[in-house]
Amino acid sequence: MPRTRREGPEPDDFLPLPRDTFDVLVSLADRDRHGYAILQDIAERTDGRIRLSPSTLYAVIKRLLESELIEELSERPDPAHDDERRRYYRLTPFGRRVAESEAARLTRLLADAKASGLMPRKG
Amino acid sequence: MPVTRVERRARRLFGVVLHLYPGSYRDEYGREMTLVLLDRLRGERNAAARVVVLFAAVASVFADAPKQHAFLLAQDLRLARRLIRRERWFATVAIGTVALGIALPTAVFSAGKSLLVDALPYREAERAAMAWVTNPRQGRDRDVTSYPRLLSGCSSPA
Repeated sequence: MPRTRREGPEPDDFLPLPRDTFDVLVSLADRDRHGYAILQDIAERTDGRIRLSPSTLYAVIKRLLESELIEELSERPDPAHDDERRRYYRLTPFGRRVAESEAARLTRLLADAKASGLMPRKG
Repeated sequence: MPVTRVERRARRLFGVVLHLYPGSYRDEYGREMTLVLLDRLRGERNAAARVVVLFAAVASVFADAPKQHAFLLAQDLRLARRLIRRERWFATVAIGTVALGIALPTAVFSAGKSLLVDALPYREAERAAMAWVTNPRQGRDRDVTSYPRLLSGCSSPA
């Protein structure tokens, strides 16, 4: 069968995602956020175990913007209640597919770990 | 929200450290990074925690800035390779011109240095001397001679 030339990258091309990258994508999955809100969300979800520095966060954001997994919003969602200098970021449809693929990959890993007795089975 | 003295100092220190980043990266993200740092400092309860956050942020810039430089360099190299492939003749002439521009001054400098600056390639080169003989028959004050004649002239009584 002749191989067809692909138009662009597939979600699997990005896997496995680095931990920080996945955290940022998860943070943007339910709503658009600015940089500090992303940091806060990650810290809350991980009980404060992961607190990204500003430079790490923006290195991740730059990579995600260049890969078109996230996009910068031209307008602020809540202009009355925040600093006008802040930039907001949103997950693109392709970024959501990449995040879903990574989540599925991690789920398969966990299932394998459970099946091999590394993790206690619940229920 | 009023800016405290600590925040002003943190902003100044972080602003200086941000210069480790490439200019384009700093212009794009420097202000946002500073805002995030100030938010994090405001979120800490005591001064010690704020100092830890500030120094962690500074250390992180030191770790990340070389990566951003390397990324930009790699991007430039990829662009250069694409342009060279697209404009082969122009690239050949340009690279040849640069090569000549480097090679010619290097050759002139190497020759000048070995002829004019470097010591002679002999042991105790500073003792080397030039000997002349007078040649009244041909009316020359300084004439060259052979080594055996020179030795016989030196050993013969004046």
